[in-house]
Amino acid sequence: MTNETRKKQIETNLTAHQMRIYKRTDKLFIYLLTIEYFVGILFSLTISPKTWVGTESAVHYHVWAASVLGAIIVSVPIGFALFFPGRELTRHLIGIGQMLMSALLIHLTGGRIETHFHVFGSLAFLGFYRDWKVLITASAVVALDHYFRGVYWPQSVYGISVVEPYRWLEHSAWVVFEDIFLMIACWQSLREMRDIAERRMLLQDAIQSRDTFVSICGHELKTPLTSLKLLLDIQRRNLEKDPDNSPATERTRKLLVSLNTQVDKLSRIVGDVLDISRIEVGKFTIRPQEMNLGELVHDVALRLSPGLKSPCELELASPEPIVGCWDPDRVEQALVNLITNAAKYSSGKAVHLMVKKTSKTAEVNVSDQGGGIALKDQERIFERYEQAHPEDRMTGLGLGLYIVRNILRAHGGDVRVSSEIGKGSTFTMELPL
Amino acid sequence: MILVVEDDENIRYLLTELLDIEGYQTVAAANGEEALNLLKKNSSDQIKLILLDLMMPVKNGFEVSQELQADPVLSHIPVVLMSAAFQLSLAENKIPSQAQIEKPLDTDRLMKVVRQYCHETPAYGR
Repeated sequence: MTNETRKKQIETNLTAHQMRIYKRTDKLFIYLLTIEYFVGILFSLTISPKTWVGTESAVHYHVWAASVLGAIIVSVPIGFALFFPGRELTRHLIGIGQMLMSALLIHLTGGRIETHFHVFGSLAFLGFYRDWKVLITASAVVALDHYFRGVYWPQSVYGISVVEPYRWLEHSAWVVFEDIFLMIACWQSLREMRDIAERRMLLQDAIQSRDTFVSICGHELKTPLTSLKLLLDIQRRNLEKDPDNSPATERTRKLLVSLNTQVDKLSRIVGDVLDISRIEVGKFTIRPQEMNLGELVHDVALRLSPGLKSPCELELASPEPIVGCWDPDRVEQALVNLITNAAKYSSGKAVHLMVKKTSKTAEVNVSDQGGGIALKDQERIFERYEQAHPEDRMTGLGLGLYIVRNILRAHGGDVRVSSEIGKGSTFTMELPL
Repeated sequence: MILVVEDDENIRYLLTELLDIEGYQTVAAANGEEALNLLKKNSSDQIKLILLDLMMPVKNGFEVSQELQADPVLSHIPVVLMSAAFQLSLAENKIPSQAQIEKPLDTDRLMKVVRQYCHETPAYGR
């Protein structure tokens, strides 16, 4: 990554993080405002008749104020939170709505000083946004409300009928006092989020470098491998054309077979590593063509059998050939993987293969008679770098089943396992028809 | 005659060697431009099959194929693509070809395809 893209990535990560916080907090306020609305109605029914008796005419007025005015106050921010979550305007409207609810609750309780604490609680709650600008909007609403009601209707806000023109300043000063600390917290939080965004970028960068490296490395390995393979084949053909069958030639032939096995093994590892890097960047593709599944399974079993420690038994459950549009190379790769795996764990007992057809899928079952896989491991083994028995970590990279799953998923199918400890495992390849 | 187009020197040499052992005459090119020059200049009517690598400097397999298709004579020569699997999948629907063989090459498959498209009598058997 260049410095420019690094910076951009940090900004993208930070914005994404902030957006998650904004949306989450918007949601919290939907609940809070709804609760406050009903608490307001409760106050109008219980507290306000007692505090306002004598100066106000009837209970009805407060119930009306709580239910209608309250509904107007909360509906705007709740509407925005529902339909425009995460927007800047939404959280400012929520800030205004929350403070107007404070004002209404203060009014309903007849200006009790205790209810004024609601303002401070609300500010702290708005601090969840970690956006200092919301605190300014909310505080402005508080100041204006206290000023105007303090002058024109002091009983509604301070519970007294005498006008004290500067009292709003004292209230606002306490609000500012809280704002200072909340804003400091917001800025600190922003700094920390930027830190997290940067670390995330570094991780993304490292992962990208790794993927690029693996991909280049794999391709670089492929060229000499292709040469090696050609070299071996040419030598084999040369020997075949050589009529002289001396013991020395025979020995060379044997050595070549052994060498060829090793080169094939190396090719498979390189192939697996390249597959992984392609899966990683979402470029794992298949080349489907019409093919006969039973035939392929038969050929693969026949070809693999001599090299396996456990014999292969094949059963075709379908009377007619199972033909579909799949990638024969990839299906073969998956099959080879499952069969060699099964043979490895079947401890000499037969590996059973079954090909069958259901209404929507063609299936190949590969069953071993090994020790089985515990239920807790059955999902894990399909993950990257995982093995059912990590203690024999030395054999294999733990990529096989992950690739098998990706091959089948690329076809629109899947692979699953059913197994019981002590009774062996059955892996089922599902291909859509 | 078979035209081998491959940028890696070693693989190019080994491919011509393999075909030679199997009794086919070959001509080799190290990149797409060389291949096209060879085809256009002289022996285009003698070349019965093209083994084409995809990733090459100067002119890659995609560009070679495009120019082959534009030429009324050359477009009839069968093409066998040799490359990594994912490049073959990129080439699909873009490069008309008679066969696609993944690297590392399976020579049995390669020879089967060669025999299919190259009826030329082996010049000499050993």
